[in-house]
Amino acid sequence: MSSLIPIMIFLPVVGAVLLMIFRSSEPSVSRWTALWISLATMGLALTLAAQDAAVMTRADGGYTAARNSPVQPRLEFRHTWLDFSEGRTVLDDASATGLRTGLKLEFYLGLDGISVLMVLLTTLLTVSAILISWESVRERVTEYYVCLLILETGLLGAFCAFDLVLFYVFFEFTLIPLFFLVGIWGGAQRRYAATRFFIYTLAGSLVTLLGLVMLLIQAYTHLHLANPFSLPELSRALAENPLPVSLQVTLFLALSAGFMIKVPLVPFHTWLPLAHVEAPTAGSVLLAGVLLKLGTVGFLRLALPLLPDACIQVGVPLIATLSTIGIIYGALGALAQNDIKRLVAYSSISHLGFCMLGLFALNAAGISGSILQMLNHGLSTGALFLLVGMIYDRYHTRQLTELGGLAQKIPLISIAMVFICFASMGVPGLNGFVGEFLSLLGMFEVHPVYAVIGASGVILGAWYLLTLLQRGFFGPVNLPPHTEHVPDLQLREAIAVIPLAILCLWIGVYPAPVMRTIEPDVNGLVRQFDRDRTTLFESESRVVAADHVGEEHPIQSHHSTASARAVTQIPQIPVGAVRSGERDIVR
Amino acid sequence: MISSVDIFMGSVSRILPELVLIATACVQFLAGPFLVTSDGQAPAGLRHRWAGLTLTALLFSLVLWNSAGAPAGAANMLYSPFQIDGLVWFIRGLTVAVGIVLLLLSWNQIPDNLAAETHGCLLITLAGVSLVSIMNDLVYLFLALELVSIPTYVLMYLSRKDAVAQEAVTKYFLLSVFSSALLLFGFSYLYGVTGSTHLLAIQSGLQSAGSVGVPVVLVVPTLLIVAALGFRLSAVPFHFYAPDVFQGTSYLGAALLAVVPKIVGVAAIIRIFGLLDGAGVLVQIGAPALWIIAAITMLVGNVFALLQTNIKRLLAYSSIAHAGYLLVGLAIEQNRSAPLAGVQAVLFYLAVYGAMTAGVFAILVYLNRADRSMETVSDLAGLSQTHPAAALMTAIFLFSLTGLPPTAGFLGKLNLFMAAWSEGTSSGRWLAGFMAANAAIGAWYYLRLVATMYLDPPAKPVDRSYDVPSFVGVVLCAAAVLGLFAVPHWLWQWLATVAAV
Repeated sequence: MSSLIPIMIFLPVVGAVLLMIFRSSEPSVSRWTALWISLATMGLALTLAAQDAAVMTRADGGYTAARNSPVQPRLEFRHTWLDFSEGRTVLDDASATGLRTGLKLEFYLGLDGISVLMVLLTTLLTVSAILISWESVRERVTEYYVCLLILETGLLGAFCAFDLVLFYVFFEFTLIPLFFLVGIWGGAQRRYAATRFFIYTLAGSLVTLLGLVMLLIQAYTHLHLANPFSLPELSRALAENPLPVSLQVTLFLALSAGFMIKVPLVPFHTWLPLAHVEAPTAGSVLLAGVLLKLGTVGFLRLALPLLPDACIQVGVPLIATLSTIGIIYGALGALAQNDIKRLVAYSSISHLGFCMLGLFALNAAGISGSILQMLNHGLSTGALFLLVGMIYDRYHTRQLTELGGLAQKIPLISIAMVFICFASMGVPGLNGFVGEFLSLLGMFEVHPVYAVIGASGVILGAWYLLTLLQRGFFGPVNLPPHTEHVPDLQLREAIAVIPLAILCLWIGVYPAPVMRTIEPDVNGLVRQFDRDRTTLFESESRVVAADHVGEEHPIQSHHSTASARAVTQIPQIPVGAVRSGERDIVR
Repeated sequence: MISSVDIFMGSVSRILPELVLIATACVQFLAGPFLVTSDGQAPAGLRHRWAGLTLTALLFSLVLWNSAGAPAGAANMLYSPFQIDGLVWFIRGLTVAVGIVLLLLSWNQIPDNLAAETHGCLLITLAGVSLVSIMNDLVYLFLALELVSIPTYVLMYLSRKDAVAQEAVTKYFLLSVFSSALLLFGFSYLYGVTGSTHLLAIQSGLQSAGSVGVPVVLVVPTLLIVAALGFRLSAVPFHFYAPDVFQGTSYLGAALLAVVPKIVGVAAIIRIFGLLDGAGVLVQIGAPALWIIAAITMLVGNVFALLQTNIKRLLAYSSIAHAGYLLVGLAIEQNRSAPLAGVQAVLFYLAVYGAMTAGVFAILVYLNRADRSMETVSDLAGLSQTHPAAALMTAIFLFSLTGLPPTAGFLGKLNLFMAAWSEGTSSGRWLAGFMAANAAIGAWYYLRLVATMYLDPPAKPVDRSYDVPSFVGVVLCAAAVLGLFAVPHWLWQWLATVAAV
């Protein structure tokens, strides 16, 4: 039991409540309070990450040995929330199975490698978001920071939830603070953007909720699972006794409805550019940096471990196709934009396409690349939105037609912009390269066509970002009329953006720590897709189940070799591959 | 041999909490007129004293509820018109809780000279609600239902006396009487078929008949009963009165109509159809009717709510939509091996619905001033800047009505989803899917209210409101809505006794 996890998750919301109760008329009090709370949360997150690392490297290998489920937290906190079985001690067929005790909801929070990375990203970006809003938000300041802190709690909770319903609770809850952030502090069309974002995502996630209920009731009545809400237990049970494929496909489609909108995959992306353009800078940073990852993490946490056969049957033809379309469409969309923020929003669609493509390679290289890409996108797109916000604060425009030659006026911001753009387009030596390369590599192993088409997105990415740099930052100076002299990067802004840049470089040069953190989780997931389950799962019942599945799905066979090779490749990829890679794109 | 005196005393001891409420109401009715002068003037502040007495009575009955021991078994049930089981326990507690909120809501809304009568009517209504769940006999059940209805007419009239209100009360009165007649007509069939008015005797009589096949003659009474109770629940197509009456009556009257008849309707359906005792014959006929009504009610309520600009009309359609959600849990087969019984889900939702709806009306009472009426949606504009605390709590209620976490409305909907899905037939699943679609439609108009409060600038400068009792009511409801999400066990331990197998 690690009660530090709930403390970390609920610290921001407690701080928000205190801010609301002791409402100060002096805005700087709210700012500093919010900053300290977010820093404290980040401190707790770092402590937890250290604990997590300690668990992994424990001398007796206790964690790896005890691991017996596709999804398993390394640190956990469990507390019963609602026990439906109370007072119903005798069920009609309890004697037949002897297992059923009834459903219960749990506050089941935990940390595995994926959540550690996402939690660190969330706490870091929240600090940056608070810093960047320091002077640009001038009205209803206290409420603004309250919203930011509440949003942080929702995001942290979603990444740490290992109970299906609890995950959904946090997943859905994040809508509320973001609705206010966009709706109150947004641009001209804020009301329309906020409402559309809210209704659109809510409608999708209600279908997801139905899918969850379907899955849980199925697990309860047919698998006789005592506690189907617990993700580790459910994923273990489903690894032993997979659901019928047709049912898996139905469940997959229902669950994806909400996640596809959140990611967003291409036909469901229309809310995103609007919400981004209208959101305040901090809202965009958290929306792109963290909130979209709820969709990918949803696929990663629910679809992959629970519905492996559906992932193979539907995931590749449907999701990978949509992701590939998204990569190209997002890149072309970005190329066509005149508004820098809109450009970055479309580039998000493209980058998350890589992420989903890697995920549905369903092998170790692809999944780890995908997780890395989630982190990378959070860092680089978060930083891009920060920089765009800084430019907007100075010139009150984001139109490329009204901006030009900024490198001469604000050189430090321009340097940061160039650096982050390089990271985002996947220049070797920076983080974007590692993630995109692994994702594409993973996909290439199983479906080369998708990977080849997707790789062209890398080139398009370089195109639109270099165009952005060329038009906005180099060339003749072009500023909106009546622009006074503006300051360059200030200390506060530097503190917001430099840690992100350092991490971009670090992950680009030395991604091994990140890879080590997620390796057990990725391997746990990949086992689902290996034909040769017998070597991994010892017990006899599992052997039977695995053979059964194997016969049903000959399509799985080619995944096994791919993932087996990819597993061995992981540690060597970063540095070696970076050197040999796609350097020509930069030119 | 049990003597009649024993039966009488045994029976009386079972309804002590209700007797406390009725006795207090009698005191208020009898003593009230003597404290008012002949020209209708009352000493200032008299309403505080009457409200204090009412609160004491409610708290006292709550104490009795808690100290009367666990629900008794089925022993001696056939001798007594009063059946005490888990359902009674739950409805009784819920009634008192709702009563306390309604009292806080009415505290400063009624003139001093009418306080005694208004509170007396409120107490009798509450006693009636509780008695509906207790009554074990058709005749007594009908009396309990009338005990709810008649004071309601008076209360609606006392709290607002203009031409619109008179029209609303008259409309409600006529339709209510009509529904009572339908109910009696239905009851007469049941008596004719089984020769008894006692519910347990009717159940066993129908059960033995049902083994042969469902008698066609039962179709008529079942549909009549569904129609009559559908009126209480404001289920489509018996909902037409709701928007007009809500709009025409006071906030107190609207709050009462939004919450109390729902409790009554659910309790009466559970009792008459014997939902706690497994699938009865009446359920076999009634369930399809309830299924259709549930689906139509959700859709009509939500779609028409989209079009409203008047807050009370909007809330009326919202309450119709929620009646549809409640009916979902009643329409599905009560499958005992399912992880979650439909009745439990309905009762949980009922409590949550009571808290969030009463909370919204308490907010309206709190904000409503002579110089600032809360009639249309745009009157809420900019509330977050003029009344931040009230706006925050309204947002909590509205998100709860939408069914979003972290509010009890989410758990309520989740429970209904799970109950409908785990029933195991495709009809329950369709209903669950339909409910999800409706929740998405409903989100739109609740969100519009939130957006008006938070996103729009204040329409006109307003003074802060200082109506303490209604604010306490708001806080209680908000605490319930958040608390039932965080610690649902607190409520569930009572629900566990309802559906104990």
